[in-house]
Amino acid sequence: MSTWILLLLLGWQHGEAPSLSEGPDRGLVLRLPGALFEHKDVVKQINSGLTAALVVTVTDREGRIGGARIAVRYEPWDEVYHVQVLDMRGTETKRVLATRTEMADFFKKGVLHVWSAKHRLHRDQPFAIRIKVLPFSQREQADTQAWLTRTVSGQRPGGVPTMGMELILERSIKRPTTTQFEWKVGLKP
Amino acid sequence: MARSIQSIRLLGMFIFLGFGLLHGSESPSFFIEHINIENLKHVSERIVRAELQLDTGQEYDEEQLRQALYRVERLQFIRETEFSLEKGSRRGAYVLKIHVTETRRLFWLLLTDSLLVRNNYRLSDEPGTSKYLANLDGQAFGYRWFSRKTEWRVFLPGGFAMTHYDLFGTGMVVDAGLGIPPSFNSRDFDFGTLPFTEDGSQFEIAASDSTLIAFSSLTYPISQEQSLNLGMYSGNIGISELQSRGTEEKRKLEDTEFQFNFATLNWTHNTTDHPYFPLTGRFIQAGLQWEWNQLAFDEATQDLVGGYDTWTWSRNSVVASYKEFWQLNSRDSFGLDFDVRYAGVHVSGKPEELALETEDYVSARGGIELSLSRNLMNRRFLYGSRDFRVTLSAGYRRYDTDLDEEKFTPDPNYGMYHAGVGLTMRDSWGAFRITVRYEQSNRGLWP
Repeated sequence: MSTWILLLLLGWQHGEAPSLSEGPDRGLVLRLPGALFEHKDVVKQINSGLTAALVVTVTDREGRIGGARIAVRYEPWDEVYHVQVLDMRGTETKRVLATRTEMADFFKKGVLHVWSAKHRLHRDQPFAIRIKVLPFSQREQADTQAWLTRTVSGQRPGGVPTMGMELILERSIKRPTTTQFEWKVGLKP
Repeated sequence: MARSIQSIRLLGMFIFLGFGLLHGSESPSFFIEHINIENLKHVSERIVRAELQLDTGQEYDEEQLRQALYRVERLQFIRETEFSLEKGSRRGAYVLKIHVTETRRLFWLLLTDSLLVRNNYRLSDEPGTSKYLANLDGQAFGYRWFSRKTEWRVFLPGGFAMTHYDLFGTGMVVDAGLGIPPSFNSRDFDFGTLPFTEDGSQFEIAASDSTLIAFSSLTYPISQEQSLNLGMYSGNIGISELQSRGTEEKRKLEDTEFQFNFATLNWTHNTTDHPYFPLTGRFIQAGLQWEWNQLAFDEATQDLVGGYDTWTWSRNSVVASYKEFWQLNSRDSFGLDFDVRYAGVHVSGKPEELALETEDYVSARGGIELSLSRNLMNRRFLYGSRDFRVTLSAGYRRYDTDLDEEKFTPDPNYGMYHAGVGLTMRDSWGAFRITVRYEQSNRGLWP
């Protein structure tokens, strides 16, 4: 696999797409396609026995963004997946799932709250959904970002990066360094 | 644009929060029972294992494994590394599987950690012989381009090399190439060998535009941290501004008028995290150097020209080097560099009055340098083997020479301060480094 870029703008227009629907508190809930967890590059990362991450973003036509983060580690001895989800509500959800099928089912249940209620919702407009798969080796990216955040903006770890981080984030995150999927979907009633 | 920025910010937030959260939670540890390295084509498995710095039978958490991954990826000839865990022979034990992708074999070198060049190696008819013999004491033969008006010395050496990583499957690293000087009036060459012997201070040979230099080295890793290296350098040097006795004319030497050969044998103990751009760890090296040179000499005119008898000189040296690096945080690293050399010069052939026994010309050199390096782009984790770094350095070097007073005056003893800034980058083709330095001697502006 190339070190540079493995950018898969597959779109899966002909396959299963994620679905977006209104959730409680005027937020949006994202359901991921089961096929995502069978894609060979995703399987390779989440089956490595070391922690990989899926970063999900949802963007409306006005550029407002929501999203979630999923960390997955396969435990070879127990043959289970340790899954950790962080979403726009700021809550953390942990699950131990036996198979990728279970994982796919779990993310079809609407557990990803990807949109903040404070954002005005345009129900008639499509949303862009992007999922980045970050392998184990990308972990330090976050560590460094944490360091940068503390240093540059004076925030503590766990804080949200400020606008002052834009340039750094643009350099560090905008680069398509890993497997990535994109869709455009409308809001389901 | 605004959307893009927002997207970036949010992605960053989730990565940041998520990883921060994971980082704060208990990180799983893994008992590594065995390490399997796959997809090696030319690189020796021993070299990769040496850079891993992981021992079987030990427990490591994810961060420690990730640091090991980065250490391997920092190798000159490794492009990408992937880690995965599999079940071991008993519950709780794991096999660490490492899939390696190598870089291309050809890489570029641009290294300029020179130490000292005296008088630009200009031979002249000044009284006595001390001056040009003193030149022999320089660590490098060199000619630096600089502006005399500004007194700033900026130089850009260059070279390229072909490497073979694992000669005959023995774990040996072979490095060979040909130096081609630039056509302009700037000609410092600096050679570095592959990982275990990197020490720019010991392999510098400067050349003029009529010069070709062949170089090769052989490195054999004798343990994870130790290696032996044999280096060979050979070439012809053309010297601009050669001034014949009693004339104002200056000319360059032709190909075979001045030949040099240089050999080194070094033992190295290296625990640094990268052979070329270390951020943490220790580097100790001790070795022997032999240098033998031959120069055409016109006995009748006492001039140095081609087609006449030759005379030779040799220099035997004992060298030692100690470097220590500390990583201060995710971007910054601090380095300490200390080295010494003790050498004797032996001259034979014509002219006879220049004949020297080794004890007639003994020199010692020692220096210390401090450096601070910062990763500007944080690319290490974005591109795997990529890195972009700026380094500031400053140091002091002392040269002392013990000469036979009947044959030499004066003793060329002096000290030199230097400061520099360097940029380093690595990509899939290998490593690249350029350094600009300013040096000031307390003996004069430019000894």
